[in-house]
Amino acid sequence: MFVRILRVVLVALALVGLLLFGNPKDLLFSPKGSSASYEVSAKDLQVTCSGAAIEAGGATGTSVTGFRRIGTALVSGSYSAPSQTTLDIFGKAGSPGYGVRQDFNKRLENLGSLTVEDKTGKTQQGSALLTANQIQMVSTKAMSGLVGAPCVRPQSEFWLIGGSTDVGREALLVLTNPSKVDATADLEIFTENGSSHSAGLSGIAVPAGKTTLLPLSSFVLSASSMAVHVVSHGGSITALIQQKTVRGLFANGADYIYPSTELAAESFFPGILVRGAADSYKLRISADKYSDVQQMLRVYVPGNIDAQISFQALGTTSNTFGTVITGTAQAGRVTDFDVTGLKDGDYFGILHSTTKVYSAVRLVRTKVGSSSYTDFTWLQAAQAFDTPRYVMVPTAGISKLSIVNPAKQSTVVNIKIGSALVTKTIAAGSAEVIRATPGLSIGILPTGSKVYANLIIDVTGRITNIPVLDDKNISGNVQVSVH
Amino acid sequence: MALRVVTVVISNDQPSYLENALSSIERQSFRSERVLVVDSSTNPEVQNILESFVNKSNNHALINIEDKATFAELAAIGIKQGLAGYENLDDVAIWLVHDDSAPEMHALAELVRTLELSPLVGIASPKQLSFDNPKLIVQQGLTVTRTLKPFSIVNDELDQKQHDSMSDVLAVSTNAMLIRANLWAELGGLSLSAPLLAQDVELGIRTHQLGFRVVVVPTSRVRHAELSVNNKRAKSWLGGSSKFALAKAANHLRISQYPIGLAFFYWLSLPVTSILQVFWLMFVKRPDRIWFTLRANFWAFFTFRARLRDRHSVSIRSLRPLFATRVQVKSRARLALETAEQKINLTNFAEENPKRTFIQQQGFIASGGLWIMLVLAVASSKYFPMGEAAYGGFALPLSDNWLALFTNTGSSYQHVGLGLASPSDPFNWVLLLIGSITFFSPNLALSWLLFSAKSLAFFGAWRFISTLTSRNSLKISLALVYAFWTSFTLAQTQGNYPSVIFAIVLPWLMFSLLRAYRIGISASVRSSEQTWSWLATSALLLAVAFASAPSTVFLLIIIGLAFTVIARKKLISLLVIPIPTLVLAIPYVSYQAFGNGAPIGVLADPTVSFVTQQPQILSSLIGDNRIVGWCSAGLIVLALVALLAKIRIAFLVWIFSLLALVNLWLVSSIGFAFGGTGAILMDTTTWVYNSPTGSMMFFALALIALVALWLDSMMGAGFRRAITTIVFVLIASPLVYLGVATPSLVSFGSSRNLPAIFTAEADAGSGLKMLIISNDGSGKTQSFSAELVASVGIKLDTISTTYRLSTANQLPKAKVANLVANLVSANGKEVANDLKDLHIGYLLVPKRQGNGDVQVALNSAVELDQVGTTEFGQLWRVKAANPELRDETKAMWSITKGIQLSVLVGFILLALPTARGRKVRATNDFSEFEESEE
Repeated sequence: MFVRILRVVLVALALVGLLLFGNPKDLLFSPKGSSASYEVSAKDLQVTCSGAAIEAGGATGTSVTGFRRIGTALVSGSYSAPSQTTLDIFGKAGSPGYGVRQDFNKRLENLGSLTVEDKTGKTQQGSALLTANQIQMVSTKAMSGLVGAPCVRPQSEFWLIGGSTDVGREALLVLTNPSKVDATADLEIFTENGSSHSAGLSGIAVPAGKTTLLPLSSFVLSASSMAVHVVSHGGSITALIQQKTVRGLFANGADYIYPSTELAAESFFPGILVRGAADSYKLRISADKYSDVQQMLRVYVPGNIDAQISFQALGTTSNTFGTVITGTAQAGRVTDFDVTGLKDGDYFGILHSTTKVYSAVRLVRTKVGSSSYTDFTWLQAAQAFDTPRYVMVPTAGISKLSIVNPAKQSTVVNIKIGSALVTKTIAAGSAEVIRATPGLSIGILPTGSKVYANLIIDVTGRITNIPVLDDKNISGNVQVSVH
Repeated sequence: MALRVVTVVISNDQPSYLENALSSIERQSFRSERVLVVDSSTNPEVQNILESFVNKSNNHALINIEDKATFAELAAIGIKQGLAGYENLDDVAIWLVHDDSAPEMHALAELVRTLELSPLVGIASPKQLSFDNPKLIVQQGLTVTRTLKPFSIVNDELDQKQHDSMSDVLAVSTNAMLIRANLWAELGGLSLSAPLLAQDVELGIRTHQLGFRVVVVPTSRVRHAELSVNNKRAKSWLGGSSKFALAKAANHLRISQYPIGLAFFYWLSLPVTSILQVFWLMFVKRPDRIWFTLRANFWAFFTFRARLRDRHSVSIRSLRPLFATRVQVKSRARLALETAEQKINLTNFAEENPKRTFIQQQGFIASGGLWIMLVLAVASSKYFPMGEAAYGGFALPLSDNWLALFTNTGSSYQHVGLGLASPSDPFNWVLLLIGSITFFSPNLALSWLLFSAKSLAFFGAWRFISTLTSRNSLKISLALVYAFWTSFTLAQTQGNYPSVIFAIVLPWLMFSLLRAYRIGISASVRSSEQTWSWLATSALLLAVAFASAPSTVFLLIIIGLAFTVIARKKLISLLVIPIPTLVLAIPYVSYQAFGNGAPIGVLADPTVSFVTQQPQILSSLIGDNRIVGWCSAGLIVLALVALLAKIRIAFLVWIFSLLALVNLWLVSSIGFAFGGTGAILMDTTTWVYNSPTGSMMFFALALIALVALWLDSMMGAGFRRAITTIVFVLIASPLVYLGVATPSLVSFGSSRNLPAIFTAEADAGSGLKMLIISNDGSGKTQSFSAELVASVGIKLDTISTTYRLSTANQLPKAKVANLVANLVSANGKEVANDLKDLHIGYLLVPKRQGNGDVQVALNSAVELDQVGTTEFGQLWRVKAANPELRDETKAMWSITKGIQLSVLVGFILLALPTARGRKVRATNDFSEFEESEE
C-alpha cells in the first residue's frame, strides 16, 4: 500500500508541475516562407479640398433638390520639396520645389486638388511634403458658422463620426471624386437605433471629377446620433459631412465632419478648448432647441460586443478641472454621452474602451447677448505620431495648437514656426496649447514618444478644427509575404 | 508373367530415416533382384549406413552423387544404373523408394501382384501412411483440380478402410511407386524441367496418355514422413518452401498442360494475375501466401521456355474424369477451416487467463448505444450539413469531384501556387478515403463526418472500454466523457478536420490493437482470418492517426513499443502494422527532411495553417469555459485514486498519460511557418502551433482506461455505482453541456470559395492563375500578403505542408512580391510582363478592412480590367493574360502513388470482415495448394 500511495504522490506532483509550469516555450521554429521587402516608387501625392460650403434648397432655399455653393473657401497649404517636384494647384501647373517650405493661401469654389508631381517617385511623402486645409466663415440665412476641414488624400473607405438629422439639423454627405475613373459608393449609416436599411445606400454614382451631394435625412430621417461608413469602388474619392444647425428660424452653427482614421480602444482628443460655458448653460436652460449646446462624446461600436467606456476630460493647466464619464456603448449602435461640468478652459480628452471603437467629440462655442451665436465643431480622435508632421495655420482668426503627451514620462516636442524653432516640454499625461501664427505652417517634431495634436481655429468666436494628418501613398519599403 | 523388381532408393541426408527405409526394404516379403541406393548426401553418417548396407549383399549397390542434383536426376541415374544389363525390360519393374519412407512387409508384394494381374497398369502406388501414426492416411493418390492445381485425394484421414475401394487415379506419389521398366524407358523418366511437386502429376498424366493405368493399391502400405512437404529437408531440395514448390508446380502444369492458346494467355497474364492474386489473398486474409505466390509467378514468367518442354501433343481433356470433383475440393476446404478453428480453441484453452472466452457482454445496440449515438447526433445539430461544404475556422471544401480529389492525393507534384515537386500530405489519403464514401460529392461525406464526430467517437470509446469492463453504465459514462472531452469539442467547433478525425480514430485504433492481440476481457477472434482482419484494421487506423496528427508520432511509437513487449511472441505480425503508415510517411518525411531541410516540419498539423493560440496544457485541459471545463479535472482525480487499487498496469498507464502531456508541451513549443494554400484567407502573419487535440485525446483515453479498470475491479457494488454516478453527473454531463453550448466557427454553404468566373474558366481547362492580394492583417499600412492560386483552387486537398514550409521558388516568389509591391503602390510601373510570366489571369482583393486602398491602387493599373464585386472581394481581369499556358495537366499517377494505393487497397481488403461462407469459398480456392501432396 505504501508503494501505491507513493505512486499517487509522485504522479500527482508530476501532474501539477506539468499543469502549472508546463507553459510552452519557443523551442524550435520551422523554416519560414519568403516575405520580402521591396523599394517601390510612389504614386504622386494628391490632396483634395471639397470646395466652398453648400447650401441646400437652391437660390430660394425652398427647393428640395437644388444645391448651391456659398462663396469660396480659403485653402491654406504648405509645400516643401526638392527641385525634381512641382506642385499642381487646382489643376494649374504650379510651383516647382526649391527645397524650402512654401506656404500659400488660395480661394476655392468647387472641388480642387493639390498634387505634387514627382518624376523620381522617391520623394518622401507626408504632411512635410504637402498639407492643406480649407476654412470658410459662412453667414447666410440658412447657414451660419465656421466650417473647416483638412484637404485629404482620396481613398476608398471612410468613417464619418458625427452629425445629426434631427429637427433643425441638416447633414449633407459630400462625396468628391477627383480621379479620372468613375466611382460608385456604398454607404452604411448607423444611428442610435442601429444600422439603417434604407433603400439607395449602395451604388451611389460619383462621376470622375465631380461632387455628389446626399442629404443624409433621405436615409435616416430623424437621427440624433449618426456614424457613416463610405466605401467606394472604382476611383478613389473623398468624403465629409457638412453639418449645420438651424434653431427656429435662425442658422446657428455649422462645420464639416471629416473622416475618422482611428478605430481604437484608447483614443485621444487634443484641443477641447471650452469657452462660454456659462452662456451655454443659460441657453440650455432657456429652451429645448438649445439642448445640444453642450460638449458631447459620440461612440460607435463596430461588431457585436458592447463596449464599456470611460472618458476623461483633463485640464491642461492647474486651473482647469476635468470630468470623467463612464457608461456602456451598445454594439452596432451610435451612443452619445454628454460631457458636462466643464468650465471655460483648455482640456484634452482620453477615451478608454473595452473594445475598439470609433469616436468623436463635439465642441460648442456660445455667446449670448448682443451679437449672440452658437457654433460647434467635431473633433475626431487624433492620430498618434512620433515623426515630424506639419499643419498649415489659416490666415484668419486665432488658431491654437493643442499637443497631448499620452506617455508616462514627459516628452520634448520641437515646434517649427516659419524658420523659428520652439522647444516645448510636455509633462507626462498632459497637454500643451500653443498659439499659432496665422498664415504660417507649423511643424510638430516629436523627439521621443508619440504625441497627438489638433489645430483649433477661432474666427470671431466661431470655431472649427483641423486634424494633424500625414497623408502619403504607399512608397518606399513595401513588405510582401508570398504564399 | 512374373515380374522382376529393381529397387531404387533415393537418399539425401536423412540417416535415421534411411536406416529404417533400408531395413524395411530388406524385410520385404517380395525380394528385389537389385537394390540400388542413389545418394547425394553430405552427411558421413549416411555413408556409414550405406556402406554397411551394400556390404550385406551382392545385390546391393550404391551410387554416390557428389554434385548437386535434383530428385528427377537422381532417379534417372539410379534407374538407368539399376536396369543395366537387362536385355528385355517387359518383365522388369522399378520400385522407387524415398529415404523417408518405411514400407510394410508386404507392400512390394501387393504392388507386384497388381502389375502382374493387369498388364494395363503402368504404375502402382501404395497407401501412404503417417510415419509416426500409421493409422493416419497422409496420401492415397494424386490428382488436379479443374484449374490444374495439384490436389491430394486423401489427406490426414484416419484409416478406416474407407478409401480401400479406390483404384484408378490421375497420378501417384513417386514414393514407393512401382513402375514398369519399359514404361519408364518410354516416358524417359521424370521430367527434368518440371518442379519437384509437379513431376509425379506430370508422370501420371503422360502414363495415361500412353494408354496405361495409374492405380493405388490400398493393401500395400508404406509409412511416409513426407519430409519435403513438411519443410524438413534442406530448402535446396525443393527449391524453396513446400508452399512455393506447390505454387510452382501449379504454374508448371498450367503452362505445360493447358491448350497452347490458353497456356500462352496464362503466361502473358501472369503479371496482372499476380496483382489480382495479391489483392485476393489480402481479401481472404491469407497474406502469408503472397510472397511465395509472387515468387512462383515470377519464376513461371521467366522460365516459360522450360515449361514448354513438357508440352505434349495429346490433350488432357480425356483425363478429366480423374480430376478432383467440386465436392472433394469443398469438403477439403471445410475440413481445413475446422481444423484451424480447433487449433485456436485449443490455444485459448491453454492460455493463462481463460476467462476471456467465456465473458458474455451486451452488445453495443443491446446496451442502448445506438440510441445514445442518435441523441449525440441531435446534440450536434449545429453541424448538420445544411450546405454542400463546411467552411470557417480550419474548414475548407474538398475538390468538387472525386477524380480531382484522387488526382491531388499522393501526387508527386503540387500544382498549387508556384508549384513544387514534392509529395502530397499523407492526410490527403484520409480525405480521399472519406470523400470516396460519397464519391458523387466528396464534400458531403466530410460534412457528415463533422456532424457525426461525437457519435463516432462515442462508439469507438464504447468499444475500447468494452475490452476493459463489461459494465454498461461504465462504458456509456466514460465513452461520453471521451466524446465530449474539451479539446475534441474545440477541434470540432473550429472545423479542424485532422484533429476531429484523430479523436474519432484513436479509440478504434486501441480497440483493434487489443483485438488483434486478443488482449482484454473478451476476445472474439476465432480464426487467423479474423486476426489478420484486426491487424490490417489496426495498420490502417495507425496510418490515419499518424496522417491526422503527426505530432503524436512519439506517443504512437510508445504504444507500438508497449505492444511489442506484450505481443513479443507475435512479432512478425506486429511488423505488419506500421506498413501503411511507413508507405505514406516515407516520401513525405524524406522530402521534409532532405528537400525542405525541415525535419521538424513532419510534426506540423496538416491542412490550412489556421492560427490558434500557443496551446497551454492547463487551458487545453479545461477549454474555453473555465467553470465547466474544470469538471474534466474530476476524471484526473478518479484516475489518481485508481492508482491505489491493485491494478498492475495503473502506474504505467499514468506514466503514459504524463508523457502525453509532455508531448503536448513539446509540440506546443514548436512554431510552424504560417502560409501555404488558403493562408491569405487567414487574418495573420504570425507563427502557427499544432492543435493540442492529439496529445489531449491520448491523455483522456488513458485516464478513462484507468478509471474503467479501477471501477471494474471494485468489489463493493454500492460504491462503484456511486462513483459511476459521479462520473456521469459531475464529469460527463457538464462536458456534454459544454459541447452543445460552445458556438461553432463552422458554417455550411457552397463548396465554391473563389469567384465563379475563375472557377468556370478553370473547369473549362484554363490554367490561368489568380493572384490574391490583401493587407496582411498586421496593422502596418505597407505590409501585404499575396497568394498565387492555381486553377485547382483553394481546396482542402490542394493544401500541401511541404509547399508551405518550402524555401524553394525564391525567384518566382520575388517576382510575385515585386509585382504586388508595384500594384499596391499604384506607381504606374509596367507590370504586364510579370503578369504574363506568372500566368496570372485574375486578381482578387478580399473583403477586409484596410483593403480599400489596394482596390483603388489596382483600379489605376492599365493592365487590369475591373470585373466587379464578387462575394469574395473585388475582382480584376488581366487584359492580356498569357494565352500560352504551361502544361498544367496534373499527372494522376506516379510510381509512389501506385505503391501507396496498392498497399492501402491491399490492407483495406485485408481489413474487410468476410462472412463465414465467403471464408469457406475463399479458402476453397487456395486450400488446394496447401492440401496437395507430392
